[in-house]
Amino acid sequence: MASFLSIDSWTGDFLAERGLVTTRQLNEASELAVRWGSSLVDVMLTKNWIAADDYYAALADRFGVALVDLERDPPAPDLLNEGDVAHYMRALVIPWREDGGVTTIVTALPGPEVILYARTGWGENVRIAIASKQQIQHAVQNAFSKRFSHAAVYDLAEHDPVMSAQTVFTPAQIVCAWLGISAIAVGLALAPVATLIAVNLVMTVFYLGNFVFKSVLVWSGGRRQHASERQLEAAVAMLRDEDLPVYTVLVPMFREPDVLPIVANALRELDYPTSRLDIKIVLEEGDQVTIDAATALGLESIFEIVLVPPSQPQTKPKACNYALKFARGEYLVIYDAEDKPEPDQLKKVVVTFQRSPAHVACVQCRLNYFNREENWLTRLFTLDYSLWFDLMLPGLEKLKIPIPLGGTSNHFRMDVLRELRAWDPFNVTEDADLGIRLTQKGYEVRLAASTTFEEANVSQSNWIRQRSRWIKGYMQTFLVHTRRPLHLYRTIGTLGILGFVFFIGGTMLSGLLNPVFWAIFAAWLVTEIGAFDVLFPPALLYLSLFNLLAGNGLFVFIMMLAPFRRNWLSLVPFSLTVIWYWVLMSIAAWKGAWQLVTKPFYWEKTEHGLSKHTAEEVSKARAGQQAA
Amino acid sequence: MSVSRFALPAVLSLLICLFVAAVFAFHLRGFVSASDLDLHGRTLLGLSGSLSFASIVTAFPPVPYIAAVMFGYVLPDAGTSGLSLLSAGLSALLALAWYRAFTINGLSRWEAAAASGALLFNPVFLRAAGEGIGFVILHWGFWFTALGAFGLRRGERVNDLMLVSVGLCIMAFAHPYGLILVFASLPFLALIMPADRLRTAPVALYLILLFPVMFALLSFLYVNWVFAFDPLSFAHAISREAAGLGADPSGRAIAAPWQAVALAAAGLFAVCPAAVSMFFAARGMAPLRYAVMALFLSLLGAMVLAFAFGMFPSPAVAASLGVTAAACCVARWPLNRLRRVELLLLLAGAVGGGVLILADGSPETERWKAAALQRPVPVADPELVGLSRVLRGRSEILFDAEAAPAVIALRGGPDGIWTSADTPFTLASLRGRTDARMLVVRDRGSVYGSDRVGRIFPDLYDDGHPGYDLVYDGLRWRVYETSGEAG
Repeated sequence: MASFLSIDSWTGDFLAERGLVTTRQLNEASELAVRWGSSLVDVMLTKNWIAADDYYAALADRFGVALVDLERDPPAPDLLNEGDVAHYMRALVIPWREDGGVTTIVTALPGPEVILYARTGWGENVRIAIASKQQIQHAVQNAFSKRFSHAAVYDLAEHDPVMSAQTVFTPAQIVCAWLGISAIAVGLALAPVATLIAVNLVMTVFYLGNFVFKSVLVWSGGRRQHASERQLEAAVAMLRDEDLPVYTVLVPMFREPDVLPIVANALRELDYPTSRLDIKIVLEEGDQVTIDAATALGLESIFEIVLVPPSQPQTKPKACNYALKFARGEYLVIYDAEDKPEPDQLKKVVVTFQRSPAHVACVQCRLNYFNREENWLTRLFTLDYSLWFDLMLPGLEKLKIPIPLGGTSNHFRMDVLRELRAWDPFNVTEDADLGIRLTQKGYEVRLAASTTFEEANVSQSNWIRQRSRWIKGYMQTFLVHTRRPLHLYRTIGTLGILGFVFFIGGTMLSGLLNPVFWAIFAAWLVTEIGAFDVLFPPALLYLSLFNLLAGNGLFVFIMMLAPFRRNWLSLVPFSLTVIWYWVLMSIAAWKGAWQLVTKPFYWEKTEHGLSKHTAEEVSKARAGQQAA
Repeated sequence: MSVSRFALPAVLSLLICLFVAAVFAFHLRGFVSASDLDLHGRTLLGLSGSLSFASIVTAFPPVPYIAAVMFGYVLPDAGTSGLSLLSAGLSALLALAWYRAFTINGLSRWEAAAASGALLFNPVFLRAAGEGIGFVILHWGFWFTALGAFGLRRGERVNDLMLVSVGLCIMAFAHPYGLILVFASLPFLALIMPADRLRTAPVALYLILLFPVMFALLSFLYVNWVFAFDPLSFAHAISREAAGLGADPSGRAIAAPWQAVALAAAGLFAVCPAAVSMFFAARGMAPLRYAVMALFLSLLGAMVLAFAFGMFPSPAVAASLGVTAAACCVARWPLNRLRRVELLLLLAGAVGGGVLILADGSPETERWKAAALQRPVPVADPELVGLSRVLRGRSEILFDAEAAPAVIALRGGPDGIWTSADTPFTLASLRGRTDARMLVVRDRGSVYGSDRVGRIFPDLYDDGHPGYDLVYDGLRWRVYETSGEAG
C-alpha cells in the first residue's frame, strides 16, 4: 500500500486555506491517494476538483517563484540531455534557460529533491520555476521528437542490419530461391514424374514433422503446469509493495477511440502500486480522434499520453520504440487498447523474473478472449489461442525452443530491451521477431500463468486482415533469421531450429500449401482420373493419405484439448468445424504472401470494437471509472 | 561407491536379459505362437511383393503388421526369431517404463527394480510376450490408458486426456482383442472423467476421449475403401490366428468355452491383487478408486464381449493385462499410504499368474507350457505344417497365400508361389485356366469357405483338375500337381 506523503499533506492544507478545494474534497482525495498509491494533487487534478492552471499558479505563488508557460517559451534545446530523459519524465524537472550565468530549473514537483538535483547539476547559480506536469512532458517529447523519431525507425537497421526486416530479401536469399526453383524446373523438364514425386515426398514429410512436433509441444507443455502455477501464486502472496520495481506500461493505439476505456479501467484495476506505474498511452500525432477521446476521458495523471510524430513506416513497433525513449520503468509491458490483463499479472511477472536466471529477459503472459461465445469465428479463434498460449508455448518453454512472442502482454527487462534496440519497425509481427532475436542474443523467454483477455475478431474479413498481417510478419521473421543459417543453428541449437522451422515456417507454409493439396485431393476424389496414379505411387499415396487423415485428425484433436484447462468445454464440438477456419487461414496466408512482395511494411489494421461484448466492456469500464 | 552406482543398472540389465532370454528360450524350444507365425507369413509376403500394396495397408490390425514389415525390411533374415526378440524387447521396454513410473511415484530405485522384476516375470506376462508383438503393443496401449485414467479425474492435465485417448487408439489398432477392450471400456470411461465437467459437458468429454480412436477407425475404413474398394474389406481378412485365438486344426472354428472366460476373470483377480488392495487403500480418494474400478470393469467387460463375439483368446493372455493394471496401481498408489508391504502383492500376483497358467488348458498355452517345461512342443496346426512340407522347394505354385500365411512362414518364404498379386494368378482368374505346376485349394465346405483359387476353379477341391494329381489331402486343404511331376 502506498504511503501518504507529508508534502501532500502540506499541499492539501495550502489549497484548502486558499479555498481552491473544500475540506470534504480534501478528505476524499486523501483516501483515494492512499488507495491509488498516487499523490494528493494527482487525485484532485484527475477528479477535476481543481484546475491545473490554478494549482500551478498557486504553487508558484506559494514558493514565490515564476510560473513558466513552456508552450510559449520552450526550454533551450542545448540544456536538455538525451541521457537524462527518463529522469526528466520521472522527477518532472528540466533545465529551462540560462541567463547571465544563472540556470533556471523548471519543475512540477517542487521540493528538496529538485533543489538537490539543481545544485548537483548546476551549482549555486540556479533558479527554480514552476510549470505544469503536462507541459514538462510535452516539452521533453518535443525537444527530442525528431531524434527519437529517427531512432525509432532506424536504430535496429543501423546498428544490427542483419536482424532488421528493412531489407525483405537479401541477394543470397534471392539466389537460393532462384536455384531451388531452377532445380525443380530442370527436374520437371528432365524427369517430371520423379520430380513431382520428390516434391510431394518432401512436402509430405514436412507435414508429418509439423504434426508430430506440435503434438510433442502439447504433451511437454502440459506436464507439471499446475504445480508451477501454484508455486507462482504462493510467491506472489509473499511480495511486499515497497519492494516492487517501477513498471512501464505501453498502450499503443491507432484509431481506436471506442475501446480506450477498457484498457484504462483494466489498468486502474491492476494490483500494483500506482506510484510505481509508468503508464504511457501511445498515440499517433495525426490520430486526432483517439487523442480527443483520450483527452475527453479525463485520464488521471498516472496515464501519460505520448504523441508519436508522423513518419514511415507507420507501425506499432515504431510507436513503441518511440515511447520507449521516455519509459522509466525497470520492466516494461505492452497492452493493446482492448486488453484486460488479470489484476495480479504484473506481480506474477515480477516474481517470475525474480525466480529466473539473469538471462531471462522477457516473460510472456497468456492471451485469450472475453467474447469467445459470440459467434463461430470467436469460438474457433478462442480454440486457436488456447492451443497456442495454454498448450504450445509452454511446450516451447519446456523444450527451450525460441518463443515467438504474442502480440501483447509480453513483459521485458528494460535494460535488455534497450540493448537489443527494441522492436523492428519494419516487421509487422515485431513481437514474434523479437522473441527469436532475444534467443539468438543469448536471452531466454519465460511464460507466466496470467491471462490477458482481448476482443476476438467477430468478422471473417477483419480476421483475414489481421491474420494476413501475422502470417506476413512470420514470413518476414523467417526470412530475417534464416539469413545466417549457421549462426542461427549455433545460437538456438538443433531443437531450436526444428521449433523455428515448424512453428514459424510450418505455420505460414501449411497455410500456403493446404489449398494445393486440397485441390489435388478434391480433383482425385471427384474425377478419380488415372493421371494421379503416376504422381502418387501406392506408397506415396498411402503416406499422403496418412498425412491427410492422421495429420488433420491430430490437429482437430489437439484443438479439442485446448479449452480443457480453462474448462470451456462448450467449445470442444466446434473444433470439428476447424476446416473452414483453415480455409480462412489459407486465404490470409496467400494475402500475406502477396503483400510481402507488394507492400512488405504495410500494417494491415485490425478493427477493434466490433464485438457487442466490447460495447458491454466499454460501458462497464465507464461505470468503473465513474465509481472511482 | 562405484559398486553401488553400477549395481542397480547391472541388476536391471540382468533382469531384462533374463526376461528376453526366457522368451527366446521358449521360442528355441519350439514355441512360436500361431499369431506370430501368421504375422511372419504375411510379412514375408509383403516384403517379397507377393501381396498387393492394398492388402498390406488394409490389413487389420495394422500396427503390428506395419511394425513387422518395417522390422523385416531392416532385418530380412530374422524370421520368427526376430519377431520373438522384438516382442521380448518391447515387453522389456514396458518394464522399464514401469520402473521409471515407480521411481517418480516415490519408490526407491531398488524397490522399483524389484517391483518391475516381479511384474516382468509374472508367468502370464511372459506368456503375453510369447503371444507376439500385437499383444505387447496392446499392453502398451493399456498402460497409457491406465496412467491417464488415474490422473484424469483431477481434471488438471491435458496429458491425462492424451494418454487415455491415444492409449485407446493404440489398443484398437494393436490387436482385435484391443478393439474389443476399447468397446468394453466405453461405459466405464465415465468413471474416470472429472465429475463436475461430466455433469456440465458429457458430450464434449466423450468426444475428446474417443475422437482419436473414432477418427482412426473411420480413416481406416476410408483407406480400405480407397485401396480395396470396400470399407469393410479388412474385416473379411482377420484370421483367427491374428486375433490370438490360436490355430484351428479341426477347421471347425471352435470358440472358447464359457469356463475359459470364468477362469480368465478369476485369474484377473489372482494376477492383480494390487488393484483390489489399492481400492481399499485409497479410501477417500475417489479419483483413484474410480480409476481402479474403471480399469478392472473394462478388462472384465472385454472378456465377456470377446466371448460373445467368439474372439476370446487364451485365458492367461486375456488376464495378462492385469499385470499392466497392477503396474499402474503401484505407479499411482497414494504416496502417503505407500507401505512397502504392498509390493509383496506384486509377488502374490506373480504366484497367481503361475496358478492361472497351470489351470489354462487352451491349446496355445499348453504349447507354451510344454516349451517352458522343456517338453516336446506340439505344432500349432499339423495340416499347415504338412502343406508347407509339400510346397517346400517347389515352384510355379498357384496358391492364395493370404488365406494361410503361416504356410509361407513354415515354408521359409514365398519363392515359387504365384499369389493373388502375381500376373499368372490374375491371368488364371481371367482365363479360368492355368499352367501352374501345383494348385493349392481350400475346401469350400470348411467354415472359412473358398479361397481365391477355389473361386477360380470351383470344383478343384472335390474333383481335381485335368492333368493334375492329388499330392496332399488334408482336412481343409488339398494340393494338386501336374501329372508328370506328381509322386
